[in-house]
Amino acid sequence: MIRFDQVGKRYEGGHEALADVSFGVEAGEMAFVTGHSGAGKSTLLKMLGLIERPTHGIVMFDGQSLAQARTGDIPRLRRRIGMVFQDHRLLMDRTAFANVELPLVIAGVPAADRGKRVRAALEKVGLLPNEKHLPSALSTGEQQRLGIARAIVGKPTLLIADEPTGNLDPQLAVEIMGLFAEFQSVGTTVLIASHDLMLIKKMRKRVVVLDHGRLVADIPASEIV
Amino acid sequence: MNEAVRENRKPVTARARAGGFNAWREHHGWSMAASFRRLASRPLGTALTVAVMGFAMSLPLAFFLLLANVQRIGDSLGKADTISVFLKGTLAAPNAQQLADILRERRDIGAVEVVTPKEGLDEMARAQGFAGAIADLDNNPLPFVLKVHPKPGLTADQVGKMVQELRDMGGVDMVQDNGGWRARLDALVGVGTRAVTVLAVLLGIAALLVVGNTIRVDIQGRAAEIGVLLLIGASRPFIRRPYLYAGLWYGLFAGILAVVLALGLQAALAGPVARLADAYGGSMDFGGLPAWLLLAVPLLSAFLGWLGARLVSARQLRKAP
Repeated sequence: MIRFDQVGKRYEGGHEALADVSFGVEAGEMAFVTGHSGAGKSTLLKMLGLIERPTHGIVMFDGQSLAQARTGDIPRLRRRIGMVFQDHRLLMDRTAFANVELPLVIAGVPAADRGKRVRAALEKVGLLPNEKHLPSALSTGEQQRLGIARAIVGKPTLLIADEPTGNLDPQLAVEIMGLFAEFQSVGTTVLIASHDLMLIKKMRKRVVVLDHGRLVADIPASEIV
Repeated sequence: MNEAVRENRKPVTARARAGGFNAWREHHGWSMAASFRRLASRPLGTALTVAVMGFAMSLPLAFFLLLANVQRIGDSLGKADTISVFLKGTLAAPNAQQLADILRERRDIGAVEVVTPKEGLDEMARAQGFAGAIADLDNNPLPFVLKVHPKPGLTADQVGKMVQELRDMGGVDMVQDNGGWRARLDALVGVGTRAVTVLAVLLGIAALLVVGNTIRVDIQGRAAEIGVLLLIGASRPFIRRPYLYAGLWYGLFAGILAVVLALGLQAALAGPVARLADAYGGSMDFGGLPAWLLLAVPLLSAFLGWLGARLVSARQLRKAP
């Protein structure tokens, strides 16, 4: 599903965010990317979302090299990836329903089918009763769940999340991670960047460790204790 | 083999095309409604933009209305190309015909009508409300009149020379040339028309700028939203579309407002102009704005709004990440 091959990213000014990173994620797999802040976790996820481009190496997604994607192809590629952000990036002047509906509108799903799918996504994250609320009327944990509903409503093949629990208390964080695990169990590939080692250990999934932009460990799920 | 492949492919392509069209229609429907809701969500700002644009566009309409009526007043007071030749009162019908025939021979005269004293009197009774006074007359004081139409395309000098020659003819009492004041009025209306045209173009550009600036500020205020839309896979045309529709709405509403204002002005003017017309014996009626213009203004205005939004959004969205 995903393949990083000797990927490097050097910003103008010389800062090296990633160097010689190679690893792959199979379809239907769930993996964590961890490391201290500034280790390159976000940069790595941003390459999958085509927000950043590598300066070295190749990033493959679903058999396609992202480096060769033209600017015009980016929207279509992004529609196949659900992205969850630490600051959730919701549209604050639209209801929960309208926020989750957006990816379907963008994909050109007919209005008649949108309502059903939006409600299904909201139900999955437990926000169906809040569909008419504005994000500002929701708690931090609910806002994050709304962000997840928006990421999965388009049935993406890959779900990526950058510090999705960064702003949440431990109990809510476990809840959110549980949601991601549920999506993996129905076949979605999930890649999560997090620095919360305690939480990651609890999840018992594969962990990729970055340090100063280099991949220093790749621990399979079976070895997490 | 190849045939079979082609056969198989056809329906798929057709379906794909139908799907693309449906998505396109879905996008437009959503954008249209979304942009309308956005404008409705801040009624004051929307109303102000529409008002500025609408007033700007009602001005040329108002001038057009005035100008058209000045033109009508001119038309009702006489054709530009008619020279009235009053014959001496002693001349009888055969003499008048004879003179008319002589004039018809001239190369610079197109047509000559003979107006008998009776016809003249009837016309007067009809047009100027003198019916009562005329009925009291014992005999008709009017002479024969020749209405001379010069050939089109003559210069003012040539007409002037012809008028002089007509005055010098035997049997002619007086020559009245409407051409002078009429030419001046026509020239004045011509200047007015040009001025209104220039004004309309300038105010059209102003309307374009008003919408453009409103949309520009709107896009700037929604930079975060645009960033989010790009992240979840929206294409730039998709992001841009609601702004284009917003421009279209602004323009359409402003055009309708301009038409309403112009119709208000027309209603306000109709009364006084009717009284003015009455004072002149009712020979002139008030000319309203033509229907095609009332329809064209909102459409043109909607186009201007769309164009303003298009010009600005292309620039603004290029700045987005």
